[in-house]
This record gives sequence, structure tokens and C-alpha cells, in this order.
Amino acid sequence: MSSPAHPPLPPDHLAHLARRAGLPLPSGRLADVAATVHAIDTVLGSLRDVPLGETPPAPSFTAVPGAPASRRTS
Amino acid sequence: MSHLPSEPYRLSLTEAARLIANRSLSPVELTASVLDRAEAVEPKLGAYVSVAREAALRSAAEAEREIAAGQLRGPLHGVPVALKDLIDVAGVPTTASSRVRADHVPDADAAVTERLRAAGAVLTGKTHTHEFAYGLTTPQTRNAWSPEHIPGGSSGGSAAAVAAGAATFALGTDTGGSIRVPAALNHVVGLKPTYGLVPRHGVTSLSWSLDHVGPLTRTAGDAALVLQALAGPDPRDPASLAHPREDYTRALGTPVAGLRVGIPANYYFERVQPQVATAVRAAVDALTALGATAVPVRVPLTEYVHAAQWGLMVPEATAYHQDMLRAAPDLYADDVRILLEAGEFVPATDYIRAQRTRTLMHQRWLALFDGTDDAAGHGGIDAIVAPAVPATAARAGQSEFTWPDGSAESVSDAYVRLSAPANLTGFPALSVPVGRDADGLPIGMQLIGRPLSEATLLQLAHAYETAHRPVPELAPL
Repeated sequence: MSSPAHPPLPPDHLAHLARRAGLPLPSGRLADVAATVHAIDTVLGSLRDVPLGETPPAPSFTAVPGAPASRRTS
Repeated sequence: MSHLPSEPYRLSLTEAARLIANRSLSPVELTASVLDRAEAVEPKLGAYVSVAREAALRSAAEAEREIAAGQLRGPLHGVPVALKDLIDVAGVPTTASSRVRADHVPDADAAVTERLRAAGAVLTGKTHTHEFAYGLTTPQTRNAWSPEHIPGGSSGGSAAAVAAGAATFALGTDTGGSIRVPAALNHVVGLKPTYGLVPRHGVTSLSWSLDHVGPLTRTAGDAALVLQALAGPDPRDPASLAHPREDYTRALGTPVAGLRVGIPANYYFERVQPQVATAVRAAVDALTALGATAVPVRVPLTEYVHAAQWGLMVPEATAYHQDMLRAAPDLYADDVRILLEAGEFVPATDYIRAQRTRTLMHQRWLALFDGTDDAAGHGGIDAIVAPAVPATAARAGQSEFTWPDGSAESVSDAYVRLSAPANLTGFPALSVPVGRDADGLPIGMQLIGRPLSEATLLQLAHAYETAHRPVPELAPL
């Protein structure tokens, strides 16, 4: 993998982010949640390597009621 | 089977439908047999959250009356079905196998419940799921073939029930393999349809981008009959496809000569138990002996499957649970709670990257099937044939697999690994039993097709079953 390793998230940084998100995290949980966040960040890191070009996000919304978003099936 | 068996719970859906249609078998008799079997095996299996015995027998009696009056609705009429406890049934709790939802009683049926009722199916009860579908082990339930092993998940209860004869068929959901994994581990058929083909209205969500609803059955022919009843548009589900009803049984029994099956040269046979690989390759040989053509293929973008799956599922699951997690965090099991908490901190731009990766993957997979991808022209394929899961059932409490190359992988990651591509691309995928390992644990292959090619997948699976597994076995509980 060519992308830089993700730094671990210090528990006190996580506490601040959790407060910002309105998610009460007891102090006893911070270390484990931070470790899980780090594990997720490490997995998601490879998304930075995908050759996306101009590819748009997968559509989940269409403005026209009753008509499906354009879906090529075959 | 041309005569009425003494134990109707052993009948496949196809057989039961035939006997009900010719009045040899009463729905009441069949339902009572299945309910008695469920009661007998439940202490060892732990498949059901709740069984609705009286309601089921009433439905069966009503089915019997209608059929006697010449009003046979179709092959599901009078046949017992179990629903994964994420699927709403009016007036019955949808617990999601969670203390958070213990008292959550919906007012209305899910769309699939409505369709099963319209088909005359008899609801036996609700089966265990890994809590909120957010896991691959379903700890409350045991593998139907071995009490020391997990059934897989998250539709573990549904798979175990069908495998044991405690339901003639069942419904599950599949976000990262949750129909196909327990189907493979319990020696039953599991179908994840094309994304959007079966409506999800009234089904508790794990990840809107990846969730699918589908059947678990004894045979491919059974799965075709159930899909027949479930598929079709529903305006209440924004992801629902405006695809007209089709006959999913139409190709069953048609020779497979001329069908091209792609055998992955990468990803799907890497870090796989040798017995699993051997059994699946033997099944490929069986398909070619039946007339299909096997073509080696390279599956695109596999190095990003794990990241794309997590990049979508983790934030979406957290988003769904945001309010409940703040209101009642202690009611969640630890493994689910920590993922829901951690999901608050995934950057939005990573989520969007995952959505863009999904678009790219979908385009590249269509090109693979069309034969227009980067690889040297192989003329296109009709299906990929590969292992459904890289390993047979893990032991209860086992946390990791160790692979021949020395690497270790969590049980959950291993089971999601071969499932996730079909969730990301939305291509239909069918898990089919192909044997058991030296310890007697089931092995499954998966057939992955183009969007809306379920009839072809069922055709291939039916051909294989007819030649190699003509009578579905029940787990010997």
C-alpha cells in the first residue's frame, strides 16, 4: 500500500471529537473505541489509492418520482 | 419422491407444493410437522427468537380451506416460512436479536411479509440474527451440523432452521454475505438477489447501500419459487427496481450447454481452506461435464473490496443507530456497540470515496461479464463460480483463521471477504451446497451473475443439484 500509515487517534482527541458529535463516550471506553477507529482508518486508507478519475458517487437519489435512477443492467 | 413421507418437515418447498396441489398433503399436517420439528430441535439449535404456533396453525387451516375450495394461490400456499428477526410482521416484535428492540412492535407487515401472505405462506416465527445484522456469527444459534460450530451470520437462525427442517424455507438479509455465509455453513441454498429486486420496506436496515433481502431454501428450485413471490417494485423502497415480474423458474431443467462460467484466477481462491477449494473446483468440473464452458477470469479492483465495504457500511450503520446509541448504549452487545461508536469518526470524504469506488467497481464488473474489460478477450461470461466462503464453520468462540501462508484473519473478515463484491456491485449471488469437509462441515460455492440474471444462476445451480445432490439432506439433529 502506497498511502501513508494512519496515525493512531489519541484517546483525548477522540473524547473531543465525540463531544463534538454529541456522542457521550465514558472515559473507560475511549481507548478501545480509539483502537477501533484506528483499525477502520487503516482499512479505509486504501481508498486513497483507487484510480477514481472523474467517477461520481453511486447514485441513491432521483428527482423524478416513480422512475429509478439510471441503472445499466446488462 | 412420489409418495407422502411420514415426516413432512423433510419435504423441500417444491415437493411440498406438488403434494399440496394434488391434495396429498394438508398444509395443517405440514405446518404441524415443521412446528413439532422446530420444538424438538430448538434446545440444540437456538434458531428461533419466537415461534407463533397458534397463528401458524390457524393460517395453515385457512390455507387448507381455500385449497379445498379450489383456490390454490400458488406453490407457497400453505407452506411454513421463518423470517429473520429484522423483517416486520404486524403485531409481532421485530427485536433484531437486540435488547434495544425487545419491545419494538411494528404496526404493519414488511413488503416481503405482505407478499408471502398474499402467496398463502404460513409464518412460523422469527429467527435469530446477529444483533442488528452487524456480525457474521449469530452467537445465539448453533450450526445445524455441529453444536460446537457457529452457524455463520447474520441470518444464522434462518439458515439453521431450514437446514434442520424447522422451517421449509426462510428469509434473510445480506449486507456483507449474511444470507450466503450461513447458507454455505449449514448446507442450504441462499440467494442474494440483484440490488433493489426485492423491496426492503419494513426490514431493519444495516447499510442502505449494501442491504439485500432474499430466501434460504433446501434447493435452487425452491429459491426460484420464493423469488417469484418476493421480487417486484415497491414505491415505498427508493432503491426498488422498476423491473417487471418475471418467471424465475423458466430455465430450471434447461441444459447448461453454451453457458460460460468464469473461474477467478485471483482473489476468490486465495486464502481458502484446501478442502473448500477442492470441493468448489470439483463442482466447476461437474458444471463443465454438464456442458458449461469454464473460462479463467481476473476479477477487477479486488484490492479495494474490504475498504469499499467498510467505507459504506460503517458510517451507514452508525447513521441508522445514531439516536438509539445515544439513548441506550448499554443495551447493545459490545462487538456491535464499538463499531457503531467508531463509525461516528469516519470522514465524510472517505464515505464518498467508497461510493465512487462502488461506481467504478460496478462498471468494471459489467465489463468483465461483457468480455470488454482489460483482460485478454475471453468472450464474456454468464456467471462467476467461486467459493461462497473461504472456510467451513468456525468453532464457537473462535476469533481467527490462520491461512497456509501464515497470515491470520478474523472470522468475520474471512466470511465477508468473498461475499462483499456482490454486495458492492449489487450483482445477484447464489450460494449452493457442494459437499462437506472431513469433519462433516458443509461447503458452499457461489454463483454470481449479471444484474437480473437470477434465472441463469438458478438454472446452473439446478443442473448441478439434479446431477449431484438430487435429494436435499437435512442436518441429522
